[in-house]
Amino acid sequence: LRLRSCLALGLAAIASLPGPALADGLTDLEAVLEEPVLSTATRTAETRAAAPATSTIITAEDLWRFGIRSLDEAINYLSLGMFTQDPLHAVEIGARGVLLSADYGNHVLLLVDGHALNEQWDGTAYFERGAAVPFELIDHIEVIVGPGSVLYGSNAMFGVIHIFTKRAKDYRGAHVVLDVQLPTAFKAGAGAGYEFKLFGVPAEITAQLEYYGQRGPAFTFGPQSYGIDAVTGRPKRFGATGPATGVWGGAPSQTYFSQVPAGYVRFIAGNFEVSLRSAMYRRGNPYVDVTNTFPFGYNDRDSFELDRWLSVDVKHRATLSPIVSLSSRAYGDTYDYQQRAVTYAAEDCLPGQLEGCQRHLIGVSRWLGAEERASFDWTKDGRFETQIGVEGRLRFVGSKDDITDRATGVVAGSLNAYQHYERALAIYGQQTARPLKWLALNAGARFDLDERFGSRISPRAAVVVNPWQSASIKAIYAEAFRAPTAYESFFTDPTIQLAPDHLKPEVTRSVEGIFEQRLGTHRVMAGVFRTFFSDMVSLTSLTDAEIAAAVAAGKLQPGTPFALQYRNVATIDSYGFEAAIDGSALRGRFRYGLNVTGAYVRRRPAPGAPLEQLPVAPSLFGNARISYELGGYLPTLALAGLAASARLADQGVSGAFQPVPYAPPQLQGRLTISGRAPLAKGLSYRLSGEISSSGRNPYVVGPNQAATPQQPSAELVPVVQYRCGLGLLYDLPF
Amino acid sequence: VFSAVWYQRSGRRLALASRPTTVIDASKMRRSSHREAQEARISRRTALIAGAAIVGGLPRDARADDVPVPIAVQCDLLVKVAAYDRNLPARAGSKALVLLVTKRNDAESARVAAAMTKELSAHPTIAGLPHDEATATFTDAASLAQACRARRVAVLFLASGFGDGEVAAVAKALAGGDVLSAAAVPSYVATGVVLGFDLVSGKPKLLCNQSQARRQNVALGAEVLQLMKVLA
Repeated sequence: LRLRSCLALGLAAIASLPGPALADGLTDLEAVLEEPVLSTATRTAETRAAAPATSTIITAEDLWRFGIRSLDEAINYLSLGMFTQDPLHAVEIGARGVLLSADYGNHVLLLVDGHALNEQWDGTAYFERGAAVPFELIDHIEVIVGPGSVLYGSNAMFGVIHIFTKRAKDYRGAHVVLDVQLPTAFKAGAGAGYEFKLFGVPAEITAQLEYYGQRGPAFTFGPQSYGIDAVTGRPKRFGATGPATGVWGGAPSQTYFSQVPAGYVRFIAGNFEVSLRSAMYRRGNPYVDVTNTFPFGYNDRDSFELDRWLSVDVKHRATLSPIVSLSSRAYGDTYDYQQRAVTYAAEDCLPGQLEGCQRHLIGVSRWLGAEERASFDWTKDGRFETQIGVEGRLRFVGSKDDITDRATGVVAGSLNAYQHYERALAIYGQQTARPLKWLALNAGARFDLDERFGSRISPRAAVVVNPWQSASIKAIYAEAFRAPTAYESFFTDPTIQLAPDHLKPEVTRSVEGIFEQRLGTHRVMAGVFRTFFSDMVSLTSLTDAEIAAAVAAGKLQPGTPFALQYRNVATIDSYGFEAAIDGSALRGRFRYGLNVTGAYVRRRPAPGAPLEQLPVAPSLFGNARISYELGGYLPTLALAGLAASARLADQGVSGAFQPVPYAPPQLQGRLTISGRAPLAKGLSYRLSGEISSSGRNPYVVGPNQAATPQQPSAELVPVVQYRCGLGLLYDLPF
Repeated sequence: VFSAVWYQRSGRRLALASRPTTVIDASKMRRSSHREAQEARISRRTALIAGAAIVGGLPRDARADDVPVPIAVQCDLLVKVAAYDRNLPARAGSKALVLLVTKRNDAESARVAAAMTKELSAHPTIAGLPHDEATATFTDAASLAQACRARRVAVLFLASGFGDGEVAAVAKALAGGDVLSAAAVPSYVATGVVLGFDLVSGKPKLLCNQSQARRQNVALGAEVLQLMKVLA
């Protein structure tokens, strides 16, 4: 009844919207202009209604209008199906009720102008400021929910997020941006777009440099009574100074920070295109957390994580005949990751390091690749098109983990040092057909051959039917995979962890049905999905017999009481619904949107184990937005909100806490006022204020990651509940 | 054991930092500087020649990206906008003729025109009139303008591949005539095509060269112009 009431209310709201009648011819024209064009789903430009995918297009205007400052905010406030959760370091991303904590974003493929940002050591991609893509340079973002390996290979399990940067014609002149989030963060940047002729050929260059810095706020944690250091037998020390009390907590002022310098340049001449990206992401975590970080010393500025990227991508396109066109691409990337963690406790360190130690984990990946793609438009009108592509990649991955005695400064040795050269090859094909005006078919598959894991075929099949005007019904089956990372494949620690025997890729299979109806400039969409994840990589405890065998084989130290190993053991089953309604009226001055995703998700952590709830991910997630342009020098008013159901904490299943820790339902809203400054030509501004109802997110903080007699309940990570920001953008044409 | 590259890089930095300072004969230094400058000039020249060869060897047609809006969407927009050209019915007579012009020996141009022809055939009317499509290869602007006059072309559609000079010449030749010109490539609008289609932030945009529209007797109402980016 409630659902029916909501539907009736929604339809009534659409019918009562101001503006011209739906039959108005101009509205028909507006409807075409409002229909987004995307190219990520099939690597061909097509309207959203025709694309075989559930998708959201987020425009640069949306980003400015709703006060969006990072990719995670764009996803949470404006997209359908995907969501992020913030543990106060790199945010975690999930889709359709599934989020895998501590995956460093490697279940979502992140692309910038077709170049994958997920690196090759751990598949890492960041979705907050650490995405390190200059934000004002973004033209639009395509968010594709669901398996996407058919054309892109590994990592596209939850979906694909594709950032397109602006062409020079849309970023002409020089631009300076200053953005402040009071009182903790700021961003400054400058960019330019310029069109010219190079030896008579049209050419252009766009570029942007920016720096983002954030420090604080200082949260209060604990106190948590941890107790005795297992090595020294004395209370555990958590800080550099003061007595060792075995108690963790306080208000760290030094450790919650981010520094992100980033630059992006794109040069186009004729059919050639070269893009270059360089970025760094240095950040500190304000709390101890065994999942994502080593046990940092308390309030210690020397503990941080650092990522660095440098990538180049060269593309060429050629139309050989009205039927055949070729796309060629070559790319090279270098990436490294460092984690420095200082601990003052002997039990966190190697034997003999009684004053504590500094752990320095380094992961490196470098890769070169080339891709050739041929398109055959057999009927010369896109109705019957074949794509065939081949991609080859050479990569280097390496890692080591140095542990330095804090008392002596001596590096005791490198744990887990390795380096590997690997090759990968993929062949893919896709056939699209529109045999009838109301029927479109899409079928494709990609075969990946990789020295790290073997091979994998990722198929997709889709049918799009247009039963009547402006309506489409889509049925899609797709598979995707995530290659086991180098970190999972090669990590070993003779004191606690065995290297895996042979990790297979994680696999997802999804079937979904979508109905979409356009009513002039308004759109209603509803869909259902069922997604099954198998061979999910999980750290698994070894049995006593397995430990004994590993000790006998010299893989574990004698006397090891407990050991772990990455294995393909877990499965996840998810099904649910998605719905969206969006549109515009008053010639685009009034805009609104609503996205809702509900999912029932259960995980089986190992064969035969009971099903359990998946932590961190909300089972119900949605967002809504509304904006109105007053016009001229008057501002645009925009209100965006998001809602999430209660979320089980990351240690909610394994921690045995009482009560079972849940982050409360979340309601968050942001009001933004933006416009052109009346007295300064070229100057734009935006002011925003945000409020969140929830004071906690679903991550257990502190050294007590499981219940203890002294602390049976969990402490969850705090949320920044109030934020306000001011952004200034100065456009200087030349 | 760890990444040789990592250590090599550290080693290289160390070597540079500890390089001994040497007193060098000034004449040698000059010779050396001269030779280095000469080598630098040669390598710059080589790079320029190589760059020119690469870029000069490029096909002069527009990039595939320069037809950013799918042809099906362009066709839909063209048909809808044409209905707002108040002078089109008088210009067209009983049947609207759409002339699609391609660049000679340009595969992309031919593909765009072929796709547009097929898409147009799916629309029964333009501005309420039945329509025909014809395709022509561009030779020169004067001949094209003559053909438009002789055949009472209602809509002229330029596919891709044309240079700025050619588009400007077409605009000049069509001035004083009576035809709605449209183009698949958005940059042609600034040069003198009346109607174009661009993609900005993932959404189609209509571009209009209003002064050229007046020269070609195209009368678009104010209400439809509100939906367009008017360039001139």
